[in-house]
Amino acid sequence: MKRRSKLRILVDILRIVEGEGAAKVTHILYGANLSYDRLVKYLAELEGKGLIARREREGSAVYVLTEKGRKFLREFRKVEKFAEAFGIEI
Amino acid sequence: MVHLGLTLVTDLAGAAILFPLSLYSLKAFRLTGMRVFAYLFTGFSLLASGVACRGLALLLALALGGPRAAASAMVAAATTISLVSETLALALIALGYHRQSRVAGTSVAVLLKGVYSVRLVAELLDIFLLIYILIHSASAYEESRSRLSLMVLAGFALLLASHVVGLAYVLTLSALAALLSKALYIAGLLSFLAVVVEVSRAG
Repeated sequence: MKRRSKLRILVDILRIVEGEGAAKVTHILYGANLSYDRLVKYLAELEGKGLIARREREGSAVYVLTEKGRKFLREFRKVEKFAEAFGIEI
Repeated sequence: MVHLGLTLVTDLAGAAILFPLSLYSLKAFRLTGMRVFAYLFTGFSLLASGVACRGLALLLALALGGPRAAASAMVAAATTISLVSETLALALIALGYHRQSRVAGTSVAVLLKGVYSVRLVAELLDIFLLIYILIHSASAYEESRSRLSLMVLAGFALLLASHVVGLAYVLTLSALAALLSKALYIAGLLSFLAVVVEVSRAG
């Protein structure tokens, strides 16, 4: 099995958050297939970059995609398509 | 005159198609930091700049009207720049593929030593480099079986065919070969245009 790049992991997290709308940490944890410690580190990084935002919903923390995060995913999809066309794995 | 006009059209169209490809390569490099995209960016930028340079020189020469010595010298210089930049560009794209695949083999950088402004040498080098690029894009298609990689494969295959026919033109000076070479070049560029359109629709 190939090791995922850091960028790929971050994008996987963003996609899970995008798919869920408002994603709980446990959902992201299972979806992204990461350890809790690593996930917390990546979530803090994504939050710091303004790609996701933490909200409180029914007493628990959820993450939502920001406009910047949505734009980043749109750009990434284009780059992914472009890379795929040239047989380059991101 | 027809040949010059055709070259002008293919050069300007080529630049218009190749610049977006270099922009996407730059965007990909900035987002991923992967060096292969930097090679693609430099390669496509060189390719686009070369044809744009020759296209503009031809446009200027045609605008001046008549075979003036200054215009002829300008077109000749621009043609040489375009030939050298095309070979360098293809070498960079091949080098990018080479580094990406990590396949052992002859370093493409060695080929750069053989770059001369002689058309025959340039054509031969371009053919060699395009064969290398084609092998990589064919294996990329084999792996992904996606329409996009097929379009890239078709684009490089048509550019290769254009250079093979271009070599025949250099050797025989046949007008038909020149025309066919240009037609194949345009077809290759259209294939890349299709990639640009498809990628810009994603997201």
